[in-house]
Amino acid sequence: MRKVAVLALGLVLVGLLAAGAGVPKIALILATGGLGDRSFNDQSYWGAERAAKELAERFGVPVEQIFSYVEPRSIADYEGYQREFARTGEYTIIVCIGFDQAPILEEVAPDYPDQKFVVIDAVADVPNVASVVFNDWEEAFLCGVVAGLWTKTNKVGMLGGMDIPLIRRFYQGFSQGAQWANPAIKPEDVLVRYVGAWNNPTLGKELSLEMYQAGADVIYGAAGKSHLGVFAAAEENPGVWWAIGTDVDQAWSTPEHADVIIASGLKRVDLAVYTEIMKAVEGTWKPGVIVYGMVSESRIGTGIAVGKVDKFPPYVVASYSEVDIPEWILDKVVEAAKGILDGTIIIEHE
Amino acid sequence: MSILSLDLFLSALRLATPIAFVALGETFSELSGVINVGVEGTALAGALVTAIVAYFTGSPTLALLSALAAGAFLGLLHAAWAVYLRADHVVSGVAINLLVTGGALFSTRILWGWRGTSPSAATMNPWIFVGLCVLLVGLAQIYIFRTPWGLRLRVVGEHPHAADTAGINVNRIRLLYTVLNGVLCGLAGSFLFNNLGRFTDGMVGGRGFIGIAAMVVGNYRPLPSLAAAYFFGLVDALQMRLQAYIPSQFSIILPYLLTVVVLAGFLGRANVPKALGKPYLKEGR
Repeated sequence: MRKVAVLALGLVLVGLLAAGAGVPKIALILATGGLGDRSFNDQSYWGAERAAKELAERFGVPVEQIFSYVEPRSIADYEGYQREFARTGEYTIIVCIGFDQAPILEEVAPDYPDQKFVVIDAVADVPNVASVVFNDWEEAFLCGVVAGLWTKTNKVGMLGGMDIPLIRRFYQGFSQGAQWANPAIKPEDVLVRYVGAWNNPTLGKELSLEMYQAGADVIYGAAGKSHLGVFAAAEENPGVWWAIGTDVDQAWSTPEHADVIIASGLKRVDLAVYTEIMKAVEGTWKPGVIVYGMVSESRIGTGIAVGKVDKFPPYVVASYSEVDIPEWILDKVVEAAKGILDGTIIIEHE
Repeated sequence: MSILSLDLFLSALRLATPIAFVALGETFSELSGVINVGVEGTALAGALVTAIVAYFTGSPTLALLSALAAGAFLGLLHAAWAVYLRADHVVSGVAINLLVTGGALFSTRILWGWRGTSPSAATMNPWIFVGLCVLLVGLAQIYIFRTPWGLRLRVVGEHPHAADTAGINVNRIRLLYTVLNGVLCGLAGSFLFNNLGRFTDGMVGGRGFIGIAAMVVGNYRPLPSLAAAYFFGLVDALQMRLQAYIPSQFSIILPYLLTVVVLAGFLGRANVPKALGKPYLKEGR
């Protein structure tokens, strides 16, 4: 019994020494779409990686010692990973990416009350979780404005990953943006199709072709890896069919399609992840709901990449797109952004 | 807007072709007595190798040949485990799936710095594959049921001891058709890459497993399996168009739901090769 007690004490001391070094540790659990979507997941990773690199330099240790990440293959894997990281008690903060992690986190987080968690894109109402949400409809509205002005057929489309509230809000923003910019577009002229998966670009391409063939000439992709299929579909008829990316300037992240991507919505997930990690390390981290977007306390986090120069930073910024967007369209986008900011444009969403 | 259009059928053909390739490959290997659930991973390997070779050499033809070689290699691996080392066929197949999934993430990261996706690379016209598929299925139907080699293939899966007595090398036949299965899965993967112009780790997306289902519905015969694959492709193409009218949650499950329903109807009267999944031992009873 004594031996056990001594051993336990020894382990605690070793643990304290390791903690005494004060090197923070970060865990990142990505969404099921996984890295390589050149959009949402990759951007989350960049935010965490940036924080890890700065911290590694500050503490003089290799990045690997600070930063761990996992790519769950399915929703069923989330709980295991969340518990595995939390159980060690070593991590300063555990970052969970994706709306579908929130309900699981609501079960897991109360079991580890001293562990700080962050969840992106949905709210988990637990005292040790910070929930970061974005006004996705703002990014989508601006993309809708570009689509509405660019279309020659007065018909546009959106490819969604799944028919869920998060993606429906994208659609609501996109549809209202297109109609605000172009009165010839009626609600039924804004098509929407859902892939049912975030990592099935083959089906994404077929669905996009179907919308293009039905007369839509601009398609906005909000489907993770699946909407790489939108770009592939647009390439089948370049100069006639166009695409809009999501979350990251996809003319930059998929440069081979910079000839068909006219714009990309921006959602600064990287900024949110980076900020939350740094707050946890500095000791200023607080649980609760944090909103990013144009109409929020922070007034940052959403926008659009379109045109060759920054028109209205940080909301309307330059894109790597090779397509020449006329000045009058850009002016209208800036007008829309200003309207959202000052409240003259109100985007309805669920 | 009419749902029944030429585009619908073209879309169905594109969606069905990888399934049909896998179904044909699995028909060959299962008739010889070898179950291979590694078809999903083998197709993914085919797509990955096509992407790598097309990207670095710029030659879609060389990329296709490499994909066939990669498929053959994985078929060889499966045959080594399942036929010669007498491992459980399903376990060996699952191992191949896991190996390729992990390998794909690893190699895309090493080669391009993006986990799970490749950049765009040179492609060939995917319709070549659609045509080739029909041709191969037709030839296979004749080969299996109208030639002495086809008879040997079937007897090895039905009654390996009788085949052995007749002087047929059972294990070598099984090796041969397992490798052929790998080659056809490689072809399926290569089509998927050429259709999209980019590799992504989810691009097979269950089409390998549906290929096995198509083979069962087709009752281990190439032509009916092709019909089953086309049926699945058609329903999938149809569900996309139905999304305009019914909630997507319902339309997306349609192809899978119908597969289950059709399978349930066919499974009872399938003539499964009698020695399927059983290793062959000369001294065995």
